[in-house]
Amino acid sequence: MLRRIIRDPLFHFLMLGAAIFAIYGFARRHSTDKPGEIVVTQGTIENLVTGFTRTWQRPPTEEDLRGLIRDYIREEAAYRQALAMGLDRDDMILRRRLRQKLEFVSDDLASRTEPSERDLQTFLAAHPELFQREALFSFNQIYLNPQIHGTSLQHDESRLLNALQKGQPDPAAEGDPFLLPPSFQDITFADVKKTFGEQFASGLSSLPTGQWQGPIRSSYGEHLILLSKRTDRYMPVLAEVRDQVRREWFDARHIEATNRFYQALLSHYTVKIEPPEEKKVAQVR
Amino acid sequence: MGGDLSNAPAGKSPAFLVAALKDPIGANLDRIQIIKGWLDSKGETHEKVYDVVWSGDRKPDPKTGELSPVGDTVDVPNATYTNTIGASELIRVWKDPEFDPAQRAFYYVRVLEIPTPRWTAYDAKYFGITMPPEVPMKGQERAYTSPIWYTPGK
Repeated sequence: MLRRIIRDPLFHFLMLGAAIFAIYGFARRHSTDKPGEIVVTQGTIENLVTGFTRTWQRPPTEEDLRGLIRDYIREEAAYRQALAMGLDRDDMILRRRLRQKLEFVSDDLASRTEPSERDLQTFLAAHPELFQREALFSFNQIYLNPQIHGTSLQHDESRLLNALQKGQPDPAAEGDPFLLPPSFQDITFADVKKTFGEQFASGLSSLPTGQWQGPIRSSYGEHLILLSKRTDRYMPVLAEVRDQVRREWFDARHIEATNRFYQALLSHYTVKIEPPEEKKVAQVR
Repeated sequence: MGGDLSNAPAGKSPAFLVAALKDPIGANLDRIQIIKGWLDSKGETHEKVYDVVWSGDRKPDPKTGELSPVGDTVDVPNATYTNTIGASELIRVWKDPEFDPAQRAFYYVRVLEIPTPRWTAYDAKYFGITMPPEVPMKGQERAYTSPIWYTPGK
């Protein structure tokens, strides 16, 4: 029940109203048309002491405290003067900070409840694209350097491939020197792409398993391939990706709550947008 | 990466095995260089760049020792290049020809790609603008290692 009230946009608006009222009252109380008075209350001093203790891991000495209070008085006077002069208006940093504080309050109220098992299960099923596991490849490769073989590259390749398919030479002894390892275990499609380049990755994914194949072109040259295992893309079960689902769930809730909050807030405004001047919008060919 | 060498055996120079593989979506490699820096007996610093291994069958100039440029495939108006020059990997063992065991020194490796369009060329193409003539439009991207320090033994 309480949770429902807290999530209600109307509640947010009432909160906001109360906040505005409080700020207005505060501003009036401190307005300069009354003879100025700065009162350092017991409560304020306690706050100063707590803050100091948290920072320095010890309570302030008397001298420290005098300094803190003196600084507080200066800050308060400067703050009021700045408000009186209207320095808070059109200030990018203040606007951003106030917005942040307001969003923080609304976010804190709306999105801190833990998801149930069912929530997570539903979320996982509704967003397969976020959690799908990539295809994995295990393979051996023999590198042929086009700069070494020159025009006989194709001939050398098919001879070597023939021999390999008959199981004759030791694969480890064949091919040209190359910095990448001759064999890869359960490497993702994305990693294949990152290591060998796009062309190689798409070539590899269409190969049948269990037989020397090729050649496949990479960014480095040509490769003969023995694809030993391919695991296709699959949907994981919840237990496998629980943390990730939980994170995404919170993120989705957060976005939802923010949208609801602004909808409620903006329902009390009429918004007019003047068309932007054409030459001020970047033209990209 | 990096490291320390000390107490060189009499009459021997340090040798380095260097190897570089190109970025699979990037440009081919032009050359690998070793940069040696040392401190002479007057306490002054010196630096020298050695070409260690390079693509193609270029020969260093017998007089100056300088290696000719790898070439240039950059098409500035279209902001493209081709990997028809350069090598996809370079490997070589290099031995310091001027090693002095009494001298403090450092060595680090620098790898140069073949010339590619600079970001200014991509911008000029994308936004359809003309750059002023003094703006460089191509460059040779490079990677370098942490140094290996040589300190004479006492």
